Amino acid sequence: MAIIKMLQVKQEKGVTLVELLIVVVILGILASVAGNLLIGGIRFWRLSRARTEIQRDARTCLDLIHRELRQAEASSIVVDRLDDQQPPCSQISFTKVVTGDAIIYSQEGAKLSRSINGTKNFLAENLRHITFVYPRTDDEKIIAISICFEKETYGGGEKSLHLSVEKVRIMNE
Amino acid sequence: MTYRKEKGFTLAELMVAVSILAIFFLAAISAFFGIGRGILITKTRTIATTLAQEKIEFLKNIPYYRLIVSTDTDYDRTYYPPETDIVVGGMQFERRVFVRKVKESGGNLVETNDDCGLKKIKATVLWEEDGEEKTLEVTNLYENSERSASSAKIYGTITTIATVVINRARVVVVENPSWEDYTLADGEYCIRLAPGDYNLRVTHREYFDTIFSASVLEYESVTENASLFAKGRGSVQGRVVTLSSQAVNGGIVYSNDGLSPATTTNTNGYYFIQDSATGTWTISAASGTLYGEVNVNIAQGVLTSATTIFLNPTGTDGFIYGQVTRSDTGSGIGNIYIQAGAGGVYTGNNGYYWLAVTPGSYYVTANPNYENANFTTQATTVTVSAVGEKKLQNFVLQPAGMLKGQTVVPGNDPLPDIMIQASGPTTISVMSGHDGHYSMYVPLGTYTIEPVLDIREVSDPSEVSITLNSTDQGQTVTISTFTIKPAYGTVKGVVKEENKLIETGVLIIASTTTLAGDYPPTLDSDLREGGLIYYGTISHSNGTYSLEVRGQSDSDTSYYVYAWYTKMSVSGPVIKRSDPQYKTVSLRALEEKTIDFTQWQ
Repeated sequence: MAIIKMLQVKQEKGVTLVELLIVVVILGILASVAGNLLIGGIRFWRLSRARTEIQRDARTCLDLIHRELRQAEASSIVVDRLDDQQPPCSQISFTKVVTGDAIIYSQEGAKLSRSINGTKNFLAENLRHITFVYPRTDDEKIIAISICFEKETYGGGEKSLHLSVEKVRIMNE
Repeated sequence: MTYRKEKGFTLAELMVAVSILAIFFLAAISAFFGIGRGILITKTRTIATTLAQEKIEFLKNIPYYRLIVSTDTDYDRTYYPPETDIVVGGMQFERRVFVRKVKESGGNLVETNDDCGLKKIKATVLWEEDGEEKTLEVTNLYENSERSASSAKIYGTITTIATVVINRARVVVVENPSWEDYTLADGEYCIRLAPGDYNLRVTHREYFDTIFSASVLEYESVTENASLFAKGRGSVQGRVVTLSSQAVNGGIVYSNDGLSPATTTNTNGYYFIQDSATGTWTISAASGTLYGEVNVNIAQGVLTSATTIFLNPTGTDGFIYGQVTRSDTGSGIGNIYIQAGAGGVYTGNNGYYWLAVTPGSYYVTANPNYENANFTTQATTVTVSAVGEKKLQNFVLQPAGMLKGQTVVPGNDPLPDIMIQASGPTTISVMSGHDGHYSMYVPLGTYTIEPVLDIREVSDPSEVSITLNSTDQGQTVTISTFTIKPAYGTVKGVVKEENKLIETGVLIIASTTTLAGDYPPTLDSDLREGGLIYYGTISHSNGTYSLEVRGQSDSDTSYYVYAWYTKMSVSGPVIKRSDPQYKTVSLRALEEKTIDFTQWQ
């Protein structure tokens, strides 16, 4: 009976400081790991979101240019640049065969613009460069388009880059 | 005592549970990685297969004869060099090509040096996976759709019975008249054809036709000589009178023997035909609208006297007459065949001819098919509008010789359908045949012979200059073989800044002159139609570029290569130019040169 009593008395009801410290330390470690994981996760999520966005932008722009350029009159195509602040070969002007629309795609700083018969609107931001180049200028029916987007993702430190190159065959003389 | 019963878990239990869980999770994670790796491997293999198939499709789009057979032993480094910088889905692949001529032999495909109309294309894709080199091979066959393999050859010499060679005899395969050849000055002919059993007919107007049979196997060359029996010659004389028995002076007398030239009667109405073929022929005489004829039998070496011909006013023929002369000396040329419609005559010794035709329009050819190999041919349309009308048509033929040669691709496989142009006193073009051989008759003189090529191809040599002088008249002159090859050389390299590969795309432009400013010119249609070609490309995201420029087969072409790239700053794009501003490179067709861009300004 005495033993039982003694045991009952000795039974701990609270937590010791040491135990508390251990718990805090463990929690701290867990929190820092989780925090890192979280930050890493956010970073990864932002990067992948940025990548998806610019890939989507690049794809949309390329598709549009590709489609319109195929309908262009090959001899009407002029490749130059908007002004001398822009990268070389970053503007293309042409006339579409069926509709006769005058189309201009050009780089203006970090933006890509499309103008149809003088009405301009912007298609995409975060443009690093768009470049139009003839593999050979004596064959004006094949032109290569390269488009590169870049987007800052986290604290200015990381950039997502995407480069697409595509060759377009122009269908009309 | 019941309150002493444990309600929680012991540490040991917990540890066991955690260990089990840990093992489970570890297994799950490793399975997850394994599956991920498996997916990646499958994806990579799919990409590799697609790349290989794409290459094969590309190569099969090249016309059969232009698909060059690899000269290397394992894979092609010369004509279709390995592409080392293909990046798909973040993986880097290398693609190699190997082209061989093959033939079927006992149900298997074996490599061969003869072109049997079948080429094997092998595309190999290589990549690295976990530090391990992986390869994938795709093989495909390319069949020549244009022909049955003309892999056999029948050749030989055509002579007279007295073994004198006969020039310009036509040898033709009876079963397929498109297989034919004319003998050359040395009497030789050569027909490339599919293996089989054939009958060949040899024809020449002055000889009786002969037919011989020949049988030839694949890749076999069979010699078949033939001798022709000359048509016999006799002569005939007679007199032409009117119904009132008056001598007809200047009447035209001609035989339908196909050999003898027409003649005219003298003041007493007599005529004499010297070189008539033996046999029974009709001698016709005409004067104005008067006409008469008589049958005569001419024997070998005998002078036959024909019955006197009485002219009735029943003439049906008009006449084309004239002289065939040499362009250089102006003298008449005898023994030139004049063909009008289905009929024709030979010119007499002085080059004169008389040809009787029913009134109508005729396409008259002197020396058709270069029957007399010493002279050119000439043709014109002559209209005889009434019976008894005499139309003068003179021909001036030039002394001629024959040029022959072959067009091949690298590796000496024949390349058909290439236009060969000889420019000199006249300009003559021919197409090379299915075995790459071509031949053409040209008037004597100095010629520049060159293949007429697409801008994508060059020829080695690019042209040949040759002079045919009087000793070459009627002879065959062989021109050195033209090897036709792709005109492109490759400039390739890496783009770097501060030792780091530039992944954002660098614009590379090359031309044979320097640029007017620091930047590319405005590329408009005036510039594109101008003679100067600018070649351009953009570097890949792995920092490499490759630019195809046109090169010559036998001399270097110098190019100025420029590079630009764009960086972004808060104020907008910053344009970098290569430093120095351009680099120069000299190369020729099929050559590869490396230029790296590492310094920028």
